[in-house]
Amino acid sequence: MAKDKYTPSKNNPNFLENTSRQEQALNFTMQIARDKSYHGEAVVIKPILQPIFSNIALVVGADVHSGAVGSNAVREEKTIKFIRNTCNSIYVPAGDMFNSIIKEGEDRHEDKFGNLRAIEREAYLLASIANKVPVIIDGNHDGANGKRWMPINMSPSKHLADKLGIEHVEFGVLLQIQMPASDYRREQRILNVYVSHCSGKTSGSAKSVDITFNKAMAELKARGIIPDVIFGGHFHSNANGVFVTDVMQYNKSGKCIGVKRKDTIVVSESTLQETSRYAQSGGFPPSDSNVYINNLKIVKNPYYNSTTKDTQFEWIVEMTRFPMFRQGSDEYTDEAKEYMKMFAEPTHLEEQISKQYSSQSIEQSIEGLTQVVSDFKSARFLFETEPQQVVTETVEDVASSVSTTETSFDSSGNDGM
Amino acid sequence: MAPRKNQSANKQQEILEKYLRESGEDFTTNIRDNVNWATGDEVASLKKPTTMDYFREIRNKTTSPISEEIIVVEEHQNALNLIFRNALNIRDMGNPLYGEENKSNRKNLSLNIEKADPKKNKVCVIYGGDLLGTEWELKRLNNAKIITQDIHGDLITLKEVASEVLGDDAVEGVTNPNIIRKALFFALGEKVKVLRRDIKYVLSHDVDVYLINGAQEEKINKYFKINVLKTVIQEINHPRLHLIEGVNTVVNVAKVTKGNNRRYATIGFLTNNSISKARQGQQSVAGVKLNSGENNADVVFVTNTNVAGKKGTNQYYVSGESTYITMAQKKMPLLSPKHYNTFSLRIPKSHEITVIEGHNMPTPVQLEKDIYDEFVKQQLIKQQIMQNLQLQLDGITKPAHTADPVKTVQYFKSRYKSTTATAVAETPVETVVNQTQVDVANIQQDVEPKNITTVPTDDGMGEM
Repeated sequence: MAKDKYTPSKNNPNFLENTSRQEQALNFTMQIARDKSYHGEAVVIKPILQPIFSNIALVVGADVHSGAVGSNAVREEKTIKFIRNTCNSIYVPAGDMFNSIIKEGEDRHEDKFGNLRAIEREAYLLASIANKVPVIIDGNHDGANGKRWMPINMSPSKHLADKLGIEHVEFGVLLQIQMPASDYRREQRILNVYVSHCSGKTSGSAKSVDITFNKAMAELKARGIIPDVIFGGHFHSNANGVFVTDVMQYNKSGKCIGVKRKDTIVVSESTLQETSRYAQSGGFPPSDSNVYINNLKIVKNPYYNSTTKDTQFEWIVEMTRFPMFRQGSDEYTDEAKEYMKMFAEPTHLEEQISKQYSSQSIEQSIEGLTQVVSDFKSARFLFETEPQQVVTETVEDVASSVSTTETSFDSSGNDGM
Repeated sequence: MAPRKNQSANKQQEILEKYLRESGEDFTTNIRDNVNWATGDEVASLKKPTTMDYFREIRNKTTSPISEEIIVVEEHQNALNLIFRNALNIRDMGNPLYGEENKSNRKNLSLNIEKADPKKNKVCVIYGGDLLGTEWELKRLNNAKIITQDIHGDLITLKEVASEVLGDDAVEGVTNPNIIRKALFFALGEKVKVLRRDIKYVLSHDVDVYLINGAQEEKINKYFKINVLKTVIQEINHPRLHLIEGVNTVVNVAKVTKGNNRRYATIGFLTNNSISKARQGQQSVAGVKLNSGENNADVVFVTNTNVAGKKGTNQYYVSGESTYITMAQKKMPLLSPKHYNTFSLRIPKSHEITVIEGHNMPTPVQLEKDIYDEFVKQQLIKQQIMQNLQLQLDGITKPAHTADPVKTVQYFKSRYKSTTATAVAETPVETVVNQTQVDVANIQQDVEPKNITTVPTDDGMGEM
């Protein structure tokens, strides 16, 4: 603490002010103002290593509105089951997983149960697939930065993410998925997928795609990244489009030497929130409530050759998109069932391994190992007092030194024990 | 002079007064209905249109909104795979047609057909309009070049070709409509040749081909008073080649199920779009609004709009094939293949279509599955070993030797070959565990576990 310093006041020299306290407060405020760790990052970059599969099933769960009237819980549970049973799937909750806390009737969905129960429910469901959920993204209904939660500066999405040990993102995330290309060489390539909740108002599903694209590009272009695929939610529409963007090509010194054409796929994802009073009164577009499976693959561009190499990329993303549920029903589509079968998790292996390796056989084979590990553990205890030192003395040196000299614990003769 | 606010009302009043003055009739009592107010002429017989007149007009339309063609998906065929091939703009040289010249367009098509798997699915290649381009019109022929190998082998202008084929009159008789028509037809013929070749190539793949007129074909048909795509079909004369009449049509699709039952659904095609010149973003919004009411099939495919994607409920905007590099400002910008022209349709129930955007369902690579299974297996084995190891370690309360450093060093010296404590202390536990894993993997072949050989053997202090 700085020493108190009293100086006469400006208005009355007989009034003394503690200026050191004021200086301290000012320094503290300046420090806090400069500190950017409080600022929410508009784009969080998240690398994902996926070295095995050349097909990835990316399922974006936007606008689940868990607990709200009209939210299809059965479909949500079946979606989680699909993710759990497929080995190459990734699930990204893209905002509005929960409802807001303003009083009912005021710009929010109606509740069947409150957020406390909704968080417990989602934690229970997502716990079984937590290893396939890279991030949880805030929406306008459940994000701390949205008007609905700002008064108390909390976010149920963050609470859920902390509970499950999953990273939480406030605005948007750029997933850089490293995966093998689908050719015989299987070279690892990076697929850039941007996912955010998006925001704004739209007059129809077609425009929602344009808004999603424009907002994403505004953020990413500043960082010099043109993604391959963009996912957004918020509009409760089910529309997509392919936007052609020009990507500048620079040489090593930074000079622009050309332009290559990139096809960016933009998806305004569907919702699990079906028609409700709020949706009707808000004039939401007719909801095509469903969950879509997006199979992503990196393929060679068929239009790339010696004459087009300056304007076309050699590798492009191929997306196959199909619905998980049938129209007007909670049943899986035949395509979803087929996909689950083709890319099934090898659940049979657990039983197979436990039968093949009985507890006794493992015990016998690692009996010696157990002893070795035990020895190392005890040896480590001995060296813990000086872990950085490398012992160079031989056994004979140690033995001879210990037997003739006094112990180092206490020069008075006490061994310190 | 009175201000002219409502000009048509004033004009109407004026004509009526003039008529009545000249006919001698009373303005207030006798107003005839059978008068053309614009011209003042009396129409001899005038009948107000009724509902039946409207029905008759619809019925007498030359092209019915429902096509006569029915696409049938047999029982053994899984899905209906559509590959769209529209906006080819054949031989339009004003913008270099890289796709066609370099054959990459054709390569993409053959890849798509292969992925669609004609053996297991019904594959239809739809030529959805805008195939023949615009450079057959006279105003565009000034700089047009036609590549013909049999005349000099060099690039020459149409005028030179026309003069060779049609005589000197062709060059001078630019104003002669018959000569012009022949020249244009010649240019068109060159384009149709390429189209025919393309269709024959596709037909060689055991797929069905459907031709649909687009805006460009409609213009050609109107000018030459022919049905150009129909002539192509007649010339090729193949059973798997069909024509779908009209530019806004609905086609029935039938899926044959067990017992020869059929499930029906409808697919709509919109190929003549008047909003093709708008910018991409606006076009999609306007297009959906315009097309939402025009075609109410179960699924609607809209072609030749330069927008690709699903824009409305069951409305799919298909991308074209032209690979233009540059376009004029504000006119169909960035026209390029966007790889959004393949769809797989399944009909689980009548009038319920599941659409897979993109190619057919992806197929897993067996090698990847094997690698993943092996990875999971190793994880499970490791998990079991670690669990077992932990149980055993928990059972060991005190090590064999005490905390005396001399005795410890002696103990390690007797057990391991290294004479310094350093070598022993630096050996990480994990390496030993990994080495053991290799041996455990070998246990698969033997029922009884082998002795672990990687760990140094005992020198006499005790059995392992």
